[in-house]
Amino acid sequence: MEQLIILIALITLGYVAGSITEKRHYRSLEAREKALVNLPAVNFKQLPVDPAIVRKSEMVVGNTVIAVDYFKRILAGLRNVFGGKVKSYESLLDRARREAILRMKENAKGAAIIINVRLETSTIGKSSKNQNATSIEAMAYGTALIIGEQ
Amino acid sequence: MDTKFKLIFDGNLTGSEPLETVKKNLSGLLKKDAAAINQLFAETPVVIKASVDPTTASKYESAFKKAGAICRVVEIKKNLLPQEGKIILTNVESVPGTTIVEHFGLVSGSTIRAKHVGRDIMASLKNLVGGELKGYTQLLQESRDEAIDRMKRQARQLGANAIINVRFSTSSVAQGAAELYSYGTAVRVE
Amino acid sequence: MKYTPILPENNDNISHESPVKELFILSAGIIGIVIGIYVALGFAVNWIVPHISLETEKKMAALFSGVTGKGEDTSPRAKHIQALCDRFQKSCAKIPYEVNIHIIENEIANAIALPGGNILLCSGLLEKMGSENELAYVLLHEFGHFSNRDHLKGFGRSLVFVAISAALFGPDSTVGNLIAGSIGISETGFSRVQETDADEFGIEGLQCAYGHVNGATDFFEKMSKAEDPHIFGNYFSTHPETLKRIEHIKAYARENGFDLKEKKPLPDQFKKISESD
Repeated sequence: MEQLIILIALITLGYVAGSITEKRHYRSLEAREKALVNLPAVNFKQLPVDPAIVRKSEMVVGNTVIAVDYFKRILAGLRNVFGGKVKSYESLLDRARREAILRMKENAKGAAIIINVRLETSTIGKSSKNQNATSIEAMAYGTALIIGEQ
Repeated sequence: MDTKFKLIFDGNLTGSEPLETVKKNLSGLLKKDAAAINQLFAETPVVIKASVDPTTASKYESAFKKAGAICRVVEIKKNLLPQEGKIILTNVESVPGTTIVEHFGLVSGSTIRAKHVGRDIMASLKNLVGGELKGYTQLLQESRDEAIDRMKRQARQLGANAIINVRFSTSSVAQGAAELYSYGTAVRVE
Repeated sequence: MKYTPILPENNDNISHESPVKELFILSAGIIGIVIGIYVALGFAVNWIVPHISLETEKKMAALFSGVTGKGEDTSPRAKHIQALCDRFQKSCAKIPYEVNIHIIENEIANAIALPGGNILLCSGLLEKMGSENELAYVLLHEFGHFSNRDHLKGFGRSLVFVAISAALFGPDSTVGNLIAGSIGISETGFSRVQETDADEFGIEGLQCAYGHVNGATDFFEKMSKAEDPHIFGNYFSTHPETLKRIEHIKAYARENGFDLKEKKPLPDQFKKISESD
């Protein structure tokens, strides 16, 4: 019986804390994306500008690791029985990637465009057979082009 | 892009010449013998020329009129451009045959799917005998389709009609669940 | 090419349904499956157990040899109890088992029927015995369990459940342990009915062996003074409220016209446990 009560308490804690953190993060993401919307990140290689005006080019990287809260883990475990979309993890990955791209853009201050952006995702944390105690790491890297007068 | 034209003959005559004369004129114009010309009249409509530029098209049109026949000139619609609402995906740097007019930055779509215990049990059994895990193949196919669909929806919101340089990435984020992620650059082509 | 800075309005990469709703739906699904398996198992076990032959059961008894091996079965008091059992088996309690008594040092007043005809008596129980009749009743109660093959039924069901939950969730998952625990809780209900049946068997045996049923409820009366109802009511206890049991035994005795006569005392050896060898 105690086990059930502890479980419910942890799930509630995970849900409440998790949703607060998530909402806060999304608001931050949206604000920063709006601020950085004038710096495009694209994943093609061709130079969209005349090579002559490129003053400097530099690789920029942004990464972040986001942890899973208990509520999401329980949901994923239950979902594993029935199959289908694991909706609880979707927001996690969305946040991680957007954050990684934003950090990459923030590292490329002064650039006109970031080309050949690539994204890598991996899981960090205990990867023993039954533990879902993984965190998601997202990394974005690309080449920032700074244009202007020599 | 230059537009191209098709020339189609429906078997109609201008009416200025009798049929036999028209046939003779056409045979001289198109450099075909009498039998071939008769067939031309028999199986209308016939495509005389599949793709010619505008100048040649008008030359043929007037030549046909002089011979006493009517030839239809039809513009070839560009079938490289996406139809209304559809989005083209390529994983090269452009959409071949079109030019990129503007770009909108990165778009991405992701989905996470878990397998259910039935598939799990089947997979364990297959581990004994080997062979394709059709259940998983189908699962990942559905995931891929959904990820691409989400990416397209995001691109559509930005006003794009194509996504170039599409890349995929798969990772396992939860026990028994796989995440499929696709990203590309949203562009508008013309 | 030019760049048009624009951000998407809706986020298509997440689902906008409430996760709490999803939690309830999935939990309800799991509970439904568990209940379904439980009910199916109940039928299956009740159907299979009568078919388990005694030879198979003796093999299962080997599983418990670790426990029974540690018990005393050659001391004078053990031999005395064994002799009682043999007497009962010959005349009054005909069960198809060869009953073996094992006594283990344990303060708790309890007796357990194990597969293969082994009865495990805790020394704490023996210390509380006031008369031979009382002890005889306890033994015959355990005989009742053997007769109904109760020890196999509860055992079998829990085992299958643990196996299924291990297969579905893995041996160490939180959800799996929770389910196994809750099955354990409902299994106690299962054995309440069995205990009552064993009570009735015990009292009939007592009447047969001694000609009267005095002493049958002594043990329970002692227990009831010590016991208090668990805060969750008697659902969580393995033995139904002792008072209810006493009432049931007395009523049963009255219905069947069993009398109460002089009780037979126990040999002194029983009380002086630490001094006898």
